[in-house]
Amino acid sequence: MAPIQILKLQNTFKPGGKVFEVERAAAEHSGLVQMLLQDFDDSDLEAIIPISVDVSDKGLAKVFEWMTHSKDLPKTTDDGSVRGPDDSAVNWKPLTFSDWDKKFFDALDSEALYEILIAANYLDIKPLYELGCQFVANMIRGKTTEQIREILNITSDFNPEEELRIREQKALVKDESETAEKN
Amino acid sequence: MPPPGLEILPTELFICVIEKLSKADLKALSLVCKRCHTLVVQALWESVSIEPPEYSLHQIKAEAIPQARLQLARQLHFRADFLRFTDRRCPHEATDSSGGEFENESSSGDSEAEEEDREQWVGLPRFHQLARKTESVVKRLRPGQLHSFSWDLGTCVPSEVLGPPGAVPLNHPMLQSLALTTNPYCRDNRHPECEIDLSALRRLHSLRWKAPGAHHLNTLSSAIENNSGRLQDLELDFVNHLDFVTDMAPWLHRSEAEGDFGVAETWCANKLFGLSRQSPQPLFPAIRTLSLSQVPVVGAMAPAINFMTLRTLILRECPGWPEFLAHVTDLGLPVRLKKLEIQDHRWQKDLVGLSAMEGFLGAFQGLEELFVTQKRLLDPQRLLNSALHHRATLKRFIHPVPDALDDIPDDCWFYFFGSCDLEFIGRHCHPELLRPILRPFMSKDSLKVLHIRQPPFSLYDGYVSWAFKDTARLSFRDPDSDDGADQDVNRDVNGDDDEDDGRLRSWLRPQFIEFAEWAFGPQGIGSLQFLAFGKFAHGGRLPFGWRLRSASFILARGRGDGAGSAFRVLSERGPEARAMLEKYRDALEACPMDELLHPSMRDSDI
Repeated sequence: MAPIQILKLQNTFKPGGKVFEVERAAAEHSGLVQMLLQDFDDSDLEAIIPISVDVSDKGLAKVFEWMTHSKDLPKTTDDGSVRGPDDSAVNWKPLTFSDWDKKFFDALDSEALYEILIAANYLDIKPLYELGCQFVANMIRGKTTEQIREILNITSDFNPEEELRIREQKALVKDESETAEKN
Repeated sequence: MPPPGLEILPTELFICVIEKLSKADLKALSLVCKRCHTLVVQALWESVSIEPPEYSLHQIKAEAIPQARLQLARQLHFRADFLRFTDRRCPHEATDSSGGEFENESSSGDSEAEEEDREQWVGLPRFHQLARKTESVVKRLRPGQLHSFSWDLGTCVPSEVLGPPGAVPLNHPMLQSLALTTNPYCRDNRHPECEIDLSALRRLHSLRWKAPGAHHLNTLSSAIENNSGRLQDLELDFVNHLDFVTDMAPWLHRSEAEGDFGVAETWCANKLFGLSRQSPQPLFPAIRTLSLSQVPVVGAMAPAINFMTLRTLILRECPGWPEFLAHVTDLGLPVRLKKLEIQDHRWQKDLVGLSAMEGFLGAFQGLEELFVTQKRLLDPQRLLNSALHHRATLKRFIHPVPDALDDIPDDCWFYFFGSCDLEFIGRHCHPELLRPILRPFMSKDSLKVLHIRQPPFSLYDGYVSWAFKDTARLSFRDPDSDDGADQDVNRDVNGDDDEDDGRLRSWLRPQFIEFAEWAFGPQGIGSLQFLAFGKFAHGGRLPFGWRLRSASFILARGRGDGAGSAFRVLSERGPEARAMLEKYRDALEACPMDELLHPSMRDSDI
């Protein structure tokens, strides 16, 4: 029997979740799915794979959209930290977003972005997880505290004295211009 | 339903975001809410930098760092600017602690605590003050806490810190990264109170030493030998090669040293790269970055380096580099370099260097960054032709020709720029000469940054600044107003763009403004994001003799609101400028025009 090429995954966090059909090559971006494929033979996989994470069907659909589009990209394996093109250890440098990735992330509202991050984390999809975190980091980069609160929709829970104290502490620390540290 | 906030992100995702941000961003983020603060504090204090003012390097202020925060540090850095005081900056050279000219300058507005502090140190030589203060910081750390230590003050290092009984080697033998900027010009640099002993460090992945003295060569050599198998980054800058070789003479056997620099150079290369030892080949199996400035190299060094792993090779003013590159080519070593920088102002006499470059560049593909400076290019087109071998991958190209008119015909540049999708171009070229050869970038979207550098003197128009009016007096990077560690960090975030914009525009020549309007305008280069002008190496310090205090700036594409100018001036301390510098720093600082420690630059000259 030919190996199964279409996997069925169901959103089981809440009752009535949608069943998604995802190409195997796409689903293999997920570390969780890779593990299942290694541990069980195909006959077990004919059943529906439950996905139990607090994400809406809409959010999961976006995750599978990304996986399907990126199915031909190299998969990240167990040891796989995604590194820059020159394998540099400078870990906050922007990763490369393809044009498609850019459009994909730009079109997301903040709710969908957070759902994708949480689902990517649960399903262990390292490249999507990295891109998503990079996208959030890009939103924050170069912004003031007030702008970040606005962008991320966070209300300050500091009282003024606390905030002042922290600002004073921060003044002791200077910026790192060099980040060439290897760990 | 309001969109969810960042607080719903699980901690591991939050940390993943934090890892991608710079310190300035983390500062802003830590004030957003309590949870952000808790998570950011750890990342923020992972690295602690202590920056005394350049004119008074013994004034280390670290008592105020809370012990609980200091214990989060994995990296400890002492660093200072090198803008005004270069060779005679060591506290050894200013033993008068009763308060000299610069002491008075800094004393205005000091708090009571600092007054007390001053009393405590009265009568103690400045170097002893430096030693006590730095030792006390290092001793507050738990043993084994540090992964990374740097001393970039450009002074002697107290033996309490790095000497045979020094706190760093003694307590942190697992250190992975060590960076030093010392001072070969200090008259007391051979005193036992500043002896350096690195023999306990055998886990180094990264070793950088700028401006060692000749008497440090044995220490350096054994540090390299003890760590060669692990070293991924090795960066050495001998600052002034000729001084170094002269200073080295007493350390050689007399017969070797007499009147023959060649012997000294070979000895130096042997000593550093283990050529005379029974060392394994390659000596550096894990090397990724090799950066040598003013370090003599010989062809026989080639097998010491694993070119399979080497990604970055920087050779600045290294005598013997053509033989070295030619030997790599002759041996047929597999080269996987991504970045190559060759700078040569003094020793280039004939076509040897060019032939070596041609052979080397022709022997592999995949180079992404190529930075080349040569004083006199006998046949400059040949260099461009060799570079074309890497046309598929080349992204950044820097080619400053310091004091010669560029005699490469326009159509040659035109072909080169047409063939390579460059993202970064750095050139010594008058804007008016640059404009026609940039035409290929009008119809593609690769070029993001254009860096125009100006040599101190150009055959095109002598000493006239290409960007600034003769009457411009710049002061917005005045070191006097920036005394380091105790500045309010909010300055970093809230740079006033409008003010800087107006001021800079009033200083710029109309021709330069016109060039920038063209470059960013509808008839210009649609992909261009930044136009950088001037020197960025050594914190933007200007060569001796240049009267303008600061001559570097960055213009960015305008906000496209239709009205007014096609560009805007980036505020120097603003977040955009910081992000830009982070991304392109290596290229902006490549091929520096002068040395980090400049022996001819005396305090009285400025």
